[in-house]
Amino acid sequence: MTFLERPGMVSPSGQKLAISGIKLSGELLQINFLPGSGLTAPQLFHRLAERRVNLSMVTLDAAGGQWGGACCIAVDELPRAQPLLDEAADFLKILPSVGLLTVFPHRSRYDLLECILSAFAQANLPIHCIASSLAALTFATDFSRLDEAVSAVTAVADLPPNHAPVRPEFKVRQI
Amino acid sequence: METIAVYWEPKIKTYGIAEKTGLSMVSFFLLMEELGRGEGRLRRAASAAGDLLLVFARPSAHSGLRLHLLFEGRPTWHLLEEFSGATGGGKPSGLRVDADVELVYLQGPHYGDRYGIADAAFGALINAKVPVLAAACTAASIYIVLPKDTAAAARKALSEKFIVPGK
Repeated sequence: MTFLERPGMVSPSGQKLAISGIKLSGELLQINFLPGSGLTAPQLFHRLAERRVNLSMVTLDAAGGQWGGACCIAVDELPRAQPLLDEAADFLKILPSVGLLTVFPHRSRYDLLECILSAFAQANLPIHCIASSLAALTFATDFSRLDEAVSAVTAVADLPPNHAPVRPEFKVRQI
Repeated sequence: METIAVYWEPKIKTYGIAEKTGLSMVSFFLLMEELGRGEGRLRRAASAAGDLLLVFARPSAHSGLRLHLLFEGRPTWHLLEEFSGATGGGKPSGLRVDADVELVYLQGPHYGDRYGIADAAFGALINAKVPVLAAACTAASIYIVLPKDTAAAARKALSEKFIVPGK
């Protein structure tokens, strides 16, 4: 199916939406905590920091006084996080292999968000969580399907000529 | 390839702590099967909304997402009507509108690769008893949505843990 044949995926101009780039993460593990789980997000963040575990992405809400959300950590940091995850297993749901796809810039475009949501849905790609900055829009999906996610996004969004998605080439580790 | 970075900072360095006020946040549950049925309604809702600042979503207990849209200005009745149909399946469940919310945000070197950054930020706000409505952290940025008239207190609290070099 071509871009223009997909319902709900055409920008107002009928053209693909221009973006400047796509960045992909390495393999991550997503930790979900639903509201009312008994472990607040700040408590979880503190205990992960004590174990020197970095959070690659965080999304949370505390409306109504109950913390719910998700955070991602690198799979290779799992050994340091595992004791905490075991201890708090009743409060958390773990997704073992997720990857982040970041599109930039979003330029405050609702239509870009809607087109990408539709593209993920039509490709039957899961979205595990979303976070954005003022410039970038990040989606968490299955790590093994990141290439499919790139195809879905580039079906609705135009990259500059000769641009390839940026993949992690090095990792910064704090000691 | 791995690069090892050593940070030994009495206070965590940041490029700056900024705030925005007079914002609105709309939140609702979005089922995965509804993702592809927006039919442009979210886009049309944009015509009644201010600039979209942030989008973030956490997993919900309903096999979907709890989606949050933070934008400039106040929501209008027209906007809420459009959001009510934004998922293509009628009124979305759990529709919540927070008007007059505020945003405080900061960026710093390698924040996305360093442990303890989120802990420092949220710990500072909890210690100062600043309530948090929502937050999103990605790459080297932290964005925290706050109730009305709390952004200044949040900046002050964050300044206890984060410092702008030279200021």
